[in-house]
Amino acid sequence: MLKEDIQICELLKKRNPKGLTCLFEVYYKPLVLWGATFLHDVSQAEDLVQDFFVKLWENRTCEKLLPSTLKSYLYVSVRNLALNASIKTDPLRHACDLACFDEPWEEYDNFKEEIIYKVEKAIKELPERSREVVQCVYLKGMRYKEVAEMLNISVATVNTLLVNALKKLRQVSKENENVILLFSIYRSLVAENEKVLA
Amino acid sequence: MREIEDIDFLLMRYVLGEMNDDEKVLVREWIAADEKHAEYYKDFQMFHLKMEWGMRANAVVHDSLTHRRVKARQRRLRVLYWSVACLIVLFSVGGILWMLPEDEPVYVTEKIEPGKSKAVLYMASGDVVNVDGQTGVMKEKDGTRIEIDGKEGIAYRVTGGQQQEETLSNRIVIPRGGEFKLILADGTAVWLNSDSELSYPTAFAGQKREVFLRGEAYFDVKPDSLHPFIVHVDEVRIQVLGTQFNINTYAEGSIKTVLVEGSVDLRNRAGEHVVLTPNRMADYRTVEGRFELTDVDVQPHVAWREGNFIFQSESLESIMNKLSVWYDLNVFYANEGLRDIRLSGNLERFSDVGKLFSKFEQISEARFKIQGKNVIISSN
Repeated sequence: MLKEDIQICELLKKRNPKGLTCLFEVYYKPLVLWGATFLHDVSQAEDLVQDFFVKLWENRTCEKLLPSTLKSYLYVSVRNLALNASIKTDPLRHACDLACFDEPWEEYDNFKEEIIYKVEKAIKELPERSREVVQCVYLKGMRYKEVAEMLNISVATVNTLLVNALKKLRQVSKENENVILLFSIYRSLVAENEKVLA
Repeated sequence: MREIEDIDFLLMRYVLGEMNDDEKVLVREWIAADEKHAEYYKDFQMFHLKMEWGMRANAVVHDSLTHRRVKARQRRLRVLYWSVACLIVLFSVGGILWMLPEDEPVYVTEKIEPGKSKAVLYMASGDVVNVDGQTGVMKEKDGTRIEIDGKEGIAYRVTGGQQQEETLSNRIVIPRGGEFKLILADGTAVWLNSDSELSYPTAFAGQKREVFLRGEAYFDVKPDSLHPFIVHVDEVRIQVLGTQFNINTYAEGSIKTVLVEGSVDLRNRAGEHVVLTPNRMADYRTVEGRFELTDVDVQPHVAWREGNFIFQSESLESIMNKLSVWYDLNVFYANEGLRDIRLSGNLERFSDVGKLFSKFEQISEARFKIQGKNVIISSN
């Protein structure tokens, strides 16, 4: 539990606008990114989080928040709101995504600005083409086909560039994270595949 | 799916929803085939999300100012908007303190600005005038001259020969951290304290002179035995002929009238009434609907008009209520028992409230911590 959570709850209980300000400072960006995971649209996620904050304040739900559950309450609420919104806008596309994105909540819970910063830096260092592809797919939510057409490359190249970008990112992340664990998984997989091949 | 390289390519298409159903089945089979595969997939997915988050982080308009601009149009977002504006002020003043660990309460010499003369005037025409330092003359529909002087206040002057057909009503609202002096059409002077409101006719017609008050005000009523002056406060009416008195309704459920000279008659809706004599205070309890009379020293009750706060063995809660209205503070008690400790002290209304707090720290266990507009009171 963060020290900020205690303060936020205390201020919100007293309906002190500063509580809302702190909530905004601490959680706005992470919640927007979290919401965008389901919505695939940052500005839509921003609207969603802002509306959510306003409702918290207006419905006086904020007075009942507990510091111990604040974080999970916020994340679960934003996820649910985002899922509701995404089902309304595009029911087909997100059917698959739900299966994919149910797990990483725990990871996101430990998610820190510095990870974002590191990734941002890594993306800046990518070759221009890769960066363009990453931007189109992750930021604009474009399909492979659309990206390929726009950049005048093949769909396979789009995939290659993305995988390569991801690989680079992994290298960056490995520097500070549990290198050995990841490496051993990788090795064991390779070994296993070699066995299969043999 | 032989090569690990291939797997990455497939998984990438899988998480991006680029696969057809047959391919998806294949990938799911691969994931389910082995625990290690599942783990690898989870790991892959994680990096995929991190890349997404990292990519999008740039696009999030985290900057509060931009946020304000974008959202200013949406009325229902006013709360947030305001709080963001607050943030800038608060963080520039108290931001650093906020980050400090709260080991023990430390008195911080942070200057809190006192209030000043300001008011908002609602005219009968529907016009709203912000009176804050400027000077000018306006006319009401009935011909009454309204002289505005940012320093001296507002004065109403009835111009000769006008016929009273209907009574026009004006309303003046004093915000927190403000005070204002008003001279009514009959020459009665009213000093309005912070967070107060007075409704009154632009010119007095008929038998009575009637005004409506919320908050705190000091009245110096122009003697006129033919036209009694009546102040309506909530359910109480205070009737006078010519006198000086102070009315305070800051504490909830309590209307305190203190008489300086002359005599006043107080009456509630039930018809119960008392006559107040100088150096006495009538405290009307709205819950019980009764008047309580006590002997008081008038000075502490009217000192605010001369620019002073005088507290004589007053509860900290009551003191902080008064100070919070004038200095526009939010007060928090770390320890509820502190509300009842009794303190005495004098303070010039236009000086730094921190001086008074440090005096209070010397004579009591209370410790004051100022963070922007918030004052946190704890015991040592």
